Amino acid sequence: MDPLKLRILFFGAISFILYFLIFYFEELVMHYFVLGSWYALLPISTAFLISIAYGSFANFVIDYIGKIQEKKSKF
Amino acid sequence: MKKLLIFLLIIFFALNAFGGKGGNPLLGQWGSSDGKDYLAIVMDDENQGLVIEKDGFKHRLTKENEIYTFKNKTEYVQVDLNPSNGNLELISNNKKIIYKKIIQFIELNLLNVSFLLILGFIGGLVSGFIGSGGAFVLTPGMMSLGVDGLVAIASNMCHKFPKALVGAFKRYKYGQVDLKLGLIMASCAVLGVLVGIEVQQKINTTYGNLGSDLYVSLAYVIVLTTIGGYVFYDAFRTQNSGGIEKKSKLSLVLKKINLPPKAKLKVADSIISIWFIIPIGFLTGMLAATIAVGGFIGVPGMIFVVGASSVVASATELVVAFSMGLIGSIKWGMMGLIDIRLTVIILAGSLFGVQIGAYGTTFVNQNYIKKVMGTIMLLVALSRGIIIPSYLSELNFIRINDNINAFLKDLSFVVMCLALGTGAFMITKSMWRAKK
Repeated sequence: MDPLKLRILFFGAISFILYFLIFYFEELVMHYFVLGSWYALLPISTAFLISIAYGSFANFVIDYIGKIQEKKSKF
Repeated sequence: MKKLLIFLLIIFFALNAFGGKGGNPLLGQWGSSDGKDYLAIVMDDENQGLVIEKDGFKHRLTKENEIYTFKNKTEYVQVDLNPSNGNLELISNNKKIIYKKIIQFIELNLLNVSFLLILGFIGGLVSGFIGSGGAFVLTPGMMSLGVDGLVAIASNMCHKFPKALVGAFKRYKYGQVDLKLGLIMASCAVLGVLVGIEVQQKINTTYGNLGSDLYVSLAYVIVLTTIGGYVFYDAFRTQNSGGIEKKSKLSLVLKKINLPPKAKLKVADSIISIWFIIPIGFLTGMLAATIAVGGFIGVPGMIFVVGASSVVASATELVVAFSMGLIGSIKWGMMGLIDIRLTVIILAGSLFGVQIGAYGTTFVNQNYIKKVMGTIMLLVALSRGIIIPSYLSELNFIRINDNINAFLKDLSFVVMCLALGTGAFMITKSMWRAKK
């Protein structure tokens, strides 16, 4: 399998799991994430994690689309 | 592609029209600090005035000289919102009871999720291309969905630093980021943010919320018209002289001044005294604390004072935005105001947008970045200019009909969305042309 597709699948799956966890446990998340003080680390680290996982996913998707277009323009 | 863009813009404005406008900051539920006493402030049935519900009774709030009062069984009670900590104070006969706002987070549905996704994508696209943008529409946009004002600012801030991080990383890979310049700017910007917040609070305690709004709007109009106008003028001048971007005259003069310590900036291709970078960083932070878009000073500052190209300036600004966003998020997070659901939904749109915007900078004419930035700045200035008469009338300086007042506020918001929409359109159009 194309390594780019594998990367898309890998980071896509991690992003999906992260998003799924946030919204599946919405009540729990909204309870602990807004307690303030040191609990601030929760939303900040979540945003950080998402930026890495989902950011990489978006990056590889854009690269993949770019590749397809390059191929098209060659023909 | 064009059809898709038009479709997105139509949905964006349609969703906008759906949401109600953000209301009075007093509205909501409040609890005393010991957690035993509660009160609620709501709109009356005719949507004309405020009503306070406390101890099973309802009292109408009357407003005189910007001060709200109500009469209970025996006495008049003054209702004050403390601008420095956001607490509600009920004052009667020298007795003061303090209430904290019980934040109610909004219910998410398909409509508001789609709205946030689109807003995030467009904000990200502009941000990846010109280094900043999006924040000025995101906060009022979220408030129009019924999100509490402070939660909107906090959640927006928390989406800003990951977005800037991803954008900065992408543009670093393209060799466009001057890390040294970014770090000097960022450290001064953090100081600027702190001073900016102080100034805001001083104005708020002296002149109230309306005074703050007026100050913010005036800052928008003066700063953005001057700098935006100049950026635009410079872009056209460059275009007329063959389209090749030259270093600004000011930067060449400053470069000759031998004021140690000097910073050798490789990517920005400049050697300049740190003393000239400090004020730009500081003002970027101050503007970010005032109008949420520090990049509108940071990017032109790096172009005209430091002598960086538009591509390097807009990329380096993302490093500054990341630092300010992170510090801001820690501050708001410690107050428990970040709604992570809103943050991650916006991120879902903006992390795509920011990378497409960054990609766009690799094949468009450098000068084009200036044009996009100038256009957005002038439109945002127009949007804030429209609303100034409305604030002046609420401060009793001039008299305006209530309907016109409401119309001006709506028009201002629409023009602001138009600013972001126009920016996104110009970027997509240029990328489309370059691809062909």
